[in-house]
Amino acid sequence: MSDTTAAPLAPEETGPQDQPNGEKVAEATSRKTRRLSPALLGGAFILICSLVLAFFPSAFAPCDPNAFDYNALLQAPSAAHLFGTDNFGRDMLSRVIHAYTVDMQIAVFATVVPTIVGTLIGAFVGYVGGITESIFGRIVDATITFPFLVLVIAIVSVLGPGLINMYIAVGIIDWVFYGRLTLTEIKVQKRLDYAAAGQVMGYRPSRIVFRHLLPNSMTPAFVYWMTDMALCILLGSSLGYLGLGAQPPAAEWGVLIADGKNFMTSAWWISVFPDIAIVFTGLDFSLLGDGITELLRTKQ
Amino acid sequence: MTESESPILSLCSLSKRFFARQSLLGRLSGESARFVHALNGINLDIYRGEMLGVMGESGCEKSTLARCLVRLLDPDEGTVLFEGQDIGALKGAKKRAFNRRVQMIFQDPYSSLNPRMTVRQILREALSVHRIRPKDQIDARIYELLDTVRLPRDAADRYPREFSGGQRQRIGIARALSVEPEILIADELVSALDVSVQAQVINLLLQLQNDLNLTIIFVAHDLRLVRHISHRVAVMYLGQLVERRRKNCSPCPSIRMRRHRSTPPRISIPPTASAGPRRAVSFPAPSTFRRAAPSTRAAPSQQKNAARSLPR
Repeated sequence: MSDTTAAPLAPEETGPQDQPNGEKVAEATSRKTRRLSPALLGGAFILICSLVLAFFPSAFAPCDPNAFDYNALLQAPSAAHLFGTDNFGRDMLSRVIHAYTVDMQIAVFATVVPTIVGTLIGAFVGYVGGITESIFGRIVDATITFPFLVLVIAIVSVLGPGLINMYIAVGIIDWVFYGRLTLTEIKVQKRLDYAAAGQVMGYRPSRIVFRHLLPNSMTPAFVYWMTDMALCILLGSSLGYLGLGAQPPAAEWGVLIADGKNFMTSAWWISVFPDIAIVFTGLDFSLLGDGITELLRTKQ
Repeated sequence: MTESESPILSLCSLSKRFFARQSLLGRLSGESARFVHALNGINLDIYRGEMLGVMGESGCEKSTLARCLVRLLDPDEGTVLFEGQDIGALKGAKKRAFNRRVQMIFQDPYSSLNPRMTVRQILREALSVHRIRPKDQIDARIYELLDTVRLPRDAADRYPREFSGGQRQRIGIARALSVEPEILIADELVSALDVSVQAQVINLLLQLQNDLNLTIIFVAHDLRLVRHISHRVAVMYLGQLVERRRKNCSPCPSIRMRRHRSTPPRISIPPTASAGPRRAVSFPAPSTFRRAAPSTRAAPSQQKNAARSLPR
């Protein structure tokens, strides 16, 4: 601490001399923050392409995804069928494209509710603390001791297979993770002086939480959301593979991979192309997550 | 500021304890909770328009005292009276009025401003929540405040990260002033700042006190600073007030009179620019007198003896 060495103050020495200097520094830093990272730009580009495919699959798919063609069973990739055909002669390219609609839907619908609910609950619990936090902590412990997939499968098997029930199952469990992330962040933020300044100003707790603490605490939950969308696509694919998610003949990547498992040695293309689509989408959300982290990081 | 006037803020035997976390086993076996007596029977009157310096070494709970004054902490015993009313009992509109009239400036210029709000948003929020000005005059008032704390007007649309420590501390002052308070509590206002910037912020504070007739409670651990600016000085030592002096009657008691045993070593700390033989400084670690001091975790019976050992 330098202040113990403070020289006696001479009022005439002071004035606004330090200001021009400080402002120059300020302008340099503000310009720096404008640059977008390549991860974010790349991620956004792939996301937009995926969304276009998801909204208008028929415009891009060369054939009807569910049309059987008994003259072209299990054909290897060729000019007529870029991704080959499956055991019913369905065009794999068309099926992969149509699956975008289902899988993007899974990514968004399965995660939106848990993200919002979990963040709000986490913020509330983090601000109130005390016994509420202990109770929440036990709920988290109880939930995360089970493997996620096992819990989802258990709930889906009670509710019955299908996408809607899968969303419900994910929603019941997934909010806990967002809650935990937001909780720890809120606990850090509420100790900072700007939260105290809000209290000294006499702001209501709701204003302090929503206007001050939450905007500074949402980054981890938001970034996790990106990862979670990728995880949910994988989960949807796993459930589809097990026959608990999207039901055949609907085109869904997991369902497509399951369809191809019997032909792995003779017709690899049935499983491999949906696989690549899953990897690509997962990569996309990871890139977005990285880019957004960087964008949202507050620079001190 | 005559003594006959009734105090605007008065602390009556204020005490605050911080309890150490207790294990479940300890709680079940009936072991008494260990605590630190952070504030111990503080009595102090603060008069309108004065600059009261509160000083003491690090860890003597100066900040705890400051936080009790604005209800960031609630005392365990004793009361804080604001114009004769117990601030712990204020509710609703009265509490809001209290919040408006008693403001605080924080020690750390980096964490005391919300990093996601521009200066304009920070000031506007305070102005509109307390309805200090009608909506159409808020912007004008924001510029007025920036002028008052000598920041350029184009600072309004910038984020706190774009400012230096001294500038951020001025934003903190502007925020506190925005609601037109009567009492300003400055908790280690300049201890995080560079020495050259300290002087500017302090002089700004002095001028504001002059112009706005503020009552300022200035909490610091820098003896010279406190001596320079305060009308009255209160010295804290491990949670107790050990000296209260008017500066004019006996100029800077702790420095001239060296009554308290914690005083002498600290006086010799700030080195001066004057040439001369340097005195060797031995500064006893707080833990060495903590054992005997009243604000430690000592049992109540020991505390009595310890209190007697404090020089009066």
